[in-house]
Amino acid sequence: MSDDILDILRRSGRIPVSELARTTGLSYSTARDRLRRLEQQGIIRGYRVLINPEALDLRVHAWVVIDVPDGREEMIGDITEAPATERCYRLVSHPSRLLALVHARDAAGLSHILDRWRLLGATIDDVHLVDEAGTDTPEADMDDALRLLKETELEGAEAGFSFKEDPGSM
Amino acid sequence: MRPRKEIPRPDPMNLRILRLLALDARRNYSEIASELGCSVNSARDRILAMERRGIIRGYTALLDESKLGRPVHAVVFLTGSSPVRPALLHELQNHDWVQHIFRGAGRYRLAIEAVACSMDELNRLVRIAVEGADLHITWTAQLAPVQPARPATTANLVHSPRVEPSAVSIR
Repeated sequence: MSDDILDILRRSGRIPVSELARTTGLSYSTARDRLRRLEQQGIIRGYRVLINPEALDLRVHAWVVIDVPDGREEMIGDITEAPATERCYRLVSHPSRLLALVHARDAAGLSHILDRWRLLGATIDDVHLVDEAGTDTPEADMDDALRLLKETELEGAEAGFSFKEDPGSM
Repeated sequence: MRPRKEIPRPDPMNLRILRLLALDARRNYSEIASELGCSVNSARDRILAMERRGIIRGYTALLDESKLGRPVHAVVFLTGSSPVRPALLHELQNHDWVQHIFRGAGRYRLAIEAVACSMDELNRLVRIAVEGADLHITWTAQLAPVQPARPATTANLVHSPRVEPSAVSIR
């Protein structure tokens, strides 16, 4: 039963409880309680909007493989925190190697980002351009757009349900 | 090349709405309206318009997959000699173990970001899902959070402190 709810919420995270109840055949109060429980158990960590990155003028997307030299761990923070980095992970097989999902306005923008990381001392092992950005996002000024893109993935995990707005936002 | 549909850029008010929805997509119209200091109708109209124009593609729940028995998080890169059929992309998106699909624009035809109970299981699921499609698993990159000390509940999300806009400029 909870699987149904999760499946629906994965596809339509903003569905009203009444509609969720109707779709699953549950009563309104049962659907609402199930939802609450899933949130309390931390199975649902949050809800986010999926924004089309092209609406933000971000048209180049890449999974980038980055090698971080020994003793230069502090660089990982710079890469992870760069506004262009939507998400960044370590490879289980090579913990000194990172895989980052990066967005840029165009190819020149992407190489600019990668050059910055090279200047920090990282080695760019590989760049896998992808056409379709799975996670999507929004603009005004480019940095703000990238920052916003990034926020979409982050807050839920950290803050659970006490989402806070970025104090420096608007 | 996929045709590029012109998407209007969000204005500052819409950006604020998107930010609120990025932090909690279940906020209702009246909460959003009061945050923005606008009328409920105006908040609703703006959101519906962004959905219609394709600025907003949808909303999703962020699930803790490790609590659902799927602790392995990976990106599977596949090669192949011909472009991936749109129907296959669509099918792949419907699997609950698939988180995101990326169509490759370079050496790889496809990258599938997914969760599973083990690496073997993941490779098996991908092989079955792309059967008959001339796609071959070339690299399965199992992912771990950047900060090893992070609790398991955030294993497939990465925390990163806020960055000021001035930190990197990509103009």
